Amino acid sequence: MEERELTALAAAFQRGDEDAFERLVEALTRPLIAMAYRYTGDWEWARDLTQETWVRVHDRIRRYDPVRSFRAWVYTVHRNACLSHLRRAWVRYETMPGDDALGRAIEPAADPLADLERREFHRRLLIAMGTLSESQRQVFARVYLEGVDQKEVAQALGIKHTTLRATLHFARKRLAAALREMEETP
Amino acid sequence: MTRNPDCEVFQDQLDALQAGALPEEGIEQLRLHAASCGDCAMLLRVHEHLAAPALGDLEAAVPDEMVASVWPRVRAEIATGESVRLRESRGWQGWSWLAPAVAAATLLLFIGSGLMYQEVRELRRRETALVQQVAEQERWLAELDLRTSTDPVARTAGLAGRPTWERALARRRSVSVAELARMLGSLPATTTIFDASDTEALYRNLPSWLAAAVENLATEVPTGDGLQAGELTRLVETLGVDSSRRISTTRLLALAGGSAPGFDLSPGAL
Amino acid sequence: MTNERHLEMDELLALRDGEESAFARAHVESCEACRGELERLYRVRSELRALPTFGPPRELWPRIRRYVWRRRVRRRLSYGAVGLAAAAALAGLLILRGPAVEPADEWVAEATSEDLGPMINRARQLETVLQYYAPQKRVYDAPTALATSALEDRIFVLDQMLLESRAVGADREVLRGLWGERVLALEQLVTLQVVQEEKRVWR
Repeated sequence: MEERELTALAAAFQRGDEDAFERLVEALTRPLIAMAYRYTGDWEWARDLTQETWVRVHDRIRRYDPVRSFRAWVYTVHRNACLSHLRRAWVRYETMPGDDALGRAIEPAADPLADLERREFHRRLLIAMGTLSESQRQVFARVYLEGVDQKEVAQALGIKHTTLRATLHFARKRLAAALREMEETP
Repeated sequence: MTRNPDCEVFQDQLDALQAGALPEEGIEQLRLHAASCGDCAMLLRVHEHLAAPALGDLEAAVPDEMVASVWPRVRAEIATGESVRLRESRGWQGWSWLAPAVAAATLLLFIGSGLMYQEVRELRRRETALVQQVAEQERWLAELDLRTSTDPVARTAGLAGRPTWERALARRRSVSVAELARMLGSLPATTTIFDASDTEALYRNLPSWLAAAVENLATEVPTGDGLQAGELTRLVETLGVDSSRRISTTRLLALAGGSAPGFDLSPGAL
Repeated sequence: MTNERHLEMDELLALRDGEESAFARAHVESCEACRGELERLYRVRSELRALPTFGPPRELWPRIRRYVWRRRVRRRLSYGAVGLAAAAALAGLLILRGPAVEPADEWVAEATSEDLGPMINRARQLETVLQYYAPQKRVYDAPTALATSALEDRIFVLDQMLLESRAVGADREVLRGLWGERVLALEQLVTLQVVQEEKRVWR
């Protein structure tokens, strides 16, 4: 759906049009699930988080400023939901991602050992992200987990590209150190 | 921070790789460096881990039934305020350790809040001490300024070009008589504080309770050339004003700038 | 040892904060001048640790004061006339939690909250200190200028993120994290200014 169309629907929803909300959910659920999967590595969690995001959007639609992109706003709400979920996971040291039966049904692993290794690395990566500062985590998540172009991230935040790179630089350095430490003491 | 230039080049190349703008030989270089640098090898691994599958491919992989299932759940959750989330409900069933964990957490919270209270108190104490330190430092800087009157850098807002002692005063809200005496004492005795016309006005406007004391002094202190620091020090001493009394610096500065009609030395003003 | 150059201010700050490079660590062990500088940074930091930073837009402080005052009045009223207190509380709620959440109201709520309030206040205090040390743009040596601008950039990023977080009603942890970083960055900025001021005074 076009950016303009989304924004118009969001404005309608802000005025109380619940049908507009339904159409927004239909239009953006797919990319949101995919994005949450990048965070959690687990389809069921991805669906739960997307559901949570939509409920948040419903509650907080008043905060949305129709002058700005609705897609960007929803993605930010979603990112917050995903990172919050990870934070809860860091707190209780849950082994993440979980046993993703649904994931296996969707896409059977060709090499179970490689698949296990990949999952373990993802788990470590998420734990390592817990050692970043809030601003580093937000920037790293956008650039790496969501794969957004650095220039776009800088623009969305209203900062210079060089400033973004400085933050990313420290984030990567700390992340690499945390991951290597985990490698040494499994 | 990484100071190794190779690592910096590596990070630039990694950015380019992510943007899909790194030529073959660049990728070769990247691997070469990663082979000799642990941190960079780890970053490359992170990159490779997250690069595939691309977000677009992932989107295509999301099953239609899953996408379709979200709206009814959202609608139900908004309507009833109750969440139907598979993972969360499943997650709670197996948590037999929850009860002891909650008990332990409560205990920790209890102990923690006690410690935190202590910490907050300690922080407050340190903050008060620090505010005092800053005030002390401020005083110290003001006095230092007084002695290094030629320093061209120290330009306090709006007072550029004025004598240094005025700038020193401008940093404070008020000074005590004792501080004023000390400041005056640290100036060369011949520094002119009030010029002749200021001094005339000063003497004319003195309250009667001071007149007698000052009359004596006036015969000793010739006012034709104004009042110098040394003379003023003697004046303050002779008047015998309580040394802990504070004088507003605005008043003092206005006087020194010649804009005040007179030096108000009534007991209330001091 | 490697002595081709001395450490720059940002490297020294990184060392102090335990984020140093291998080069910096090796260098500081063999170089007395840099070690001295580092020790001074530690000292200055310990003196400034407890200081506070920047906060809501300046024009909001009168509002925050009014809010606190209102809260106090409300509390006082509750001792006396319960009905009056309820009315005052209701009025307060209507003003502060009206149907649409005004950004300014949110600022007030944050600045007076128990978790964010102390951080915001601390930030504001540090800003006051900064204003004192830098009444106008001073001329720095190159490393200090670099470190200063890096810190100012970092603070700007945090400000933008705080704005964004407010726009989506982000979780409290996010706000706490961002405010914490902001206080830290301001602390470092103050440290730089103090070191600079010392140099200036003793030159």
